[in-house]
Amino acid sequence: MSELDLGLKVASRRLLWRMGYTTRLDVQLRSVGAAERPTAGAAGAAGRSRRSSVPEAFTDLDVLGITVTGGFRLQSAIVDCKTTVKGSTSRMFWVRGVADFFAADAAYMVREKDLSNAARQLTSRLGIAALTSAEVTRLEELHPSHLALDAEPLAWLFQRDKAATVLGTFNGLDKRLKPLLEYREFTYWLAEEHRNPMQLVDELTAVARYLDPRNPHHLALVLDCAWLYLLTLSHAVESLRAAHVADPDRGLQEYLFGGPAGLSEKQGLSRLLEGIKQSGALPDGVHVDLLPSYFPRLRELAIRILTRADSVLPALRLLEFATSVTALGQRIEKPEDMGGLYDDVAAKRAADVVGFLVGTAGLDNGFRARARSLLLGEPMT
Amino acid sequence: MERFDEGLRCQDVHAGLRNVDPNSGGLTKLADTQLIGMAGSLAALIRGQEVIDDAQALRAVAAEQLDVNQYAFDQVLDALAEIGFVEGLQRSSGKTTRFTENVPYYDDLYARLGAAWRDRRPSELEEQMVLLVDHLSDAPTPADELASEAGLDTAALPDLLAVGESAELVKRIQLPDGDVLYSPFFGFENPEVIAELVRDHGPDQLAEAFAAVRGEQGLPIGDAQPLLQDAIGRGLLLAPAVERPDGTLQPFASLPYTLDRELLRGRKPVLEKALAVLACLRCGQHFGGATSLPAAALVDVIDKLLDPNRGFLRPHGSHARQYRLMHSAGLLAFDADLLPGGNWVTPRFIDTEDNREALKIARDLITHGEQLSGRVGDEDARKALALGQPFTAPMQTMNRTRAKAPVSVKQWQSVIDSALGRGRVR
Repeated sequence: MSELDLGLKVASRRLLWRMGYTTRLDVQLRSVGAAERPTAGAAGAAGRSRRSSVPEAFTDLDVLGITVTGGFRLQSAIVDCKTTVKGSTSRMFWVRGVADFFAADAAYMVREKDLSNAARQLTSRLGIAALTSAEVTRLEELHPSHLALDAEPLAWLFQRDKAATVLGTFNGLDKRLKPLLEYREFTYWLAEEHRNPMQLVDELTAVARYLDPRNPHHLALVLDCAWLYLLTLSHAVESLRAAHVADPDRGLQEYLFGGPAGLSEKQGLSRLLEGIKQSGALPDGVHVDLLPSYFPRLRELAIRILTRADSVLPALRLLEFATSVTALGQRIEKPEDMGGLYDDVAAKRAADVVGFLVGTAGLDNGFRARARSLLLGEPMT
Repeated sequence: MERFDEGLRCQDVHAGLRNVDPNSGGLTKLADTQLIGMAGSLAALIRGQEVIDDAQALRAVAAEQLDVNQYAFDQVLDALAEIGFVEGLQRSSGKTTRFTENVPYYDDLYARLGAAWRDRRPSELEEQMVLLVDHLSDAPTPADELASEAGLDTAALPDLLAVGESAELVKRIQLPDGDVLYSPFFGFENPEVIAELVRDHGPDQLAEAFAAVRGEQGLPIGDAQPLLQDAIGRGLLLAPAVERPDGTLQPFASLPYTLDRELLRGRKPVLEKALAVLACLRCGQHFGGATSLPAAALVDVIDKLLDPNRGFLRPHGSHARQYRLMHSAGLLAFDADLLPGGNWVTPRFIDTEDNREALKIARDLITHGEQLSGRVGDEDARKALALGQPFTAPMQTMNRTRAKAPVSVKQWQSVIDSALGRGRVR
């Protein structure tokens, strides 16, 4: 990661905040580990299979912005930041490709200095906004915000050194947390969206015993996972609103299994497994029910999000902010210190998500208490 | 008893105890039950509020509207916190100031309350009281048969009835050959008639007949049910009549059981409207001929009328006759046929607060046999997850592998999780 680029990234992040987004820096996109390919020679096969089983990086998004539109549709924006001007024309095509790959609704290319005329000519054809650093500032002025973005602690989100510290927080963690770290960094973004509600819980469950709420970096990691989880559930709620707003139980089941056909297929499989279990061929302790045991809690959480959809974006922003503050080893004493960001229902919603993850993944209860203290201002007991 | 019923009856007990002087010493014996009953009422009130910033204001509202004693308020909140319905209780100078709520929207509120009541290890008297109230919610019973029928301790019965009657959870009718006990939450017009019915038909027949009505609110009454005919004739049961296609008047008996006693008194017209809805719908179900309403469609009709974007039924040749009672009760207007030149009527819902409530009560009575909406506000809360049916096909190939499967539970679980699309990508 280039420190020079980081300045543009945090400036772009601030622009996106002014525009009403919640953001994330450095989203990595890479392949999943490929299966071994059959080859003619045994030695060659061994060498190639080692290489092919390692995930290959596709690319990364410098800044990702997520927002919620009036009818509750999640929209995303990506920003590509480079300090060099070189190759900006061809880079425009690259950005278009990444935007299409990510299904982003808006794409920006930000450069330190002037862009070539050719690049500017491509903006309308490719649907990409091209901005210089100065134009980012100018555009910011066109988006006034009631939030105190320039005052600390909220301003920490937009300071280069603070952003570098936060990004570095997750690099030096216990190696035993690697599966979760890799999931949050890579797999989450490439997995089919409907798989994440269950997969994130499982990833957290797998490393629960190594997570210590007294470690601020671990707390930051859990808060970051809560951001990811709320985003994931917002996708689920978007689907519920479209298809089953009056029957969230069915809607959520269909969503989790990739649609009505997927649900029906898995229900059939579950019945088959149940039959096998009843015949004694499977041990009694094997859980063959279609739905995870925490499904009722998941459904309640989804219904709460559905009921107060207006709190999703503020809750995501609160979690983004809380993650950064915690990763920096700081804490917020009072809601008033959040630069106008605090909203009680949003803070409750963010705490709900953390509480859900703690309860379902078997995390230490200290995470819940600390998150509630940070988000809702409750005293630590 | 199921946990759901226990939770429900705790709230009944609390509703009854509202009639008792809160300083009565006898109430201490019912403390846990009363507390869970209050917790149920408060939970229904705060659901969806997310953050309660001014708990003292809520305390006043709860005392005023729900009879949640202001001195019990903190204890009720603690009970709700134990169940997980509230969190983050903040207190200052001994008073609760702020908290957040997690009362479930979808999960079964009463089942969880019932489980919480069990966890508190209720006293023998409380268990018996809940059993008693639940039993009397089914049908009136002669006092001398109560213990055996409800599974109550005969020796404890006098104490139980003393408390129950002082709390107005139990009503008694005295007869020369023994008393009859019933629940005051029934919408009886003339409870004294119960005694005559017991005397003339016997207690077993009475219980059986009432169970039939509770099982199908709006039960069509004919010659095969002499006891119910008698009960209607003597003014005990409410049974609005609807004209059948052959011109005869058909009574449909209902037995409303409600905690909202205003519905049995000042707001009786709302309850009567609800029963009119039941009668009209049951008529369509049982006497609709070739176009009869399937049982599962009764609720659909109510939902269509309640839907603010619809609020009418498609015209049918029988509607003018079938829905005349609802029309007379001011629930429906008869608009012109939707088709040009047509001479059928289009029943249109007259959308008022009372009419809306009447439809919801009717929906509860069809779905649950008693009114729940006043307690919870959401009948969907009772929907259970309908997962796949047990698989019955023979699995001979798996049987053969059973003895030699060297796979651990964990390994099986991993494979099955992957197969079912759950969790981590492996």
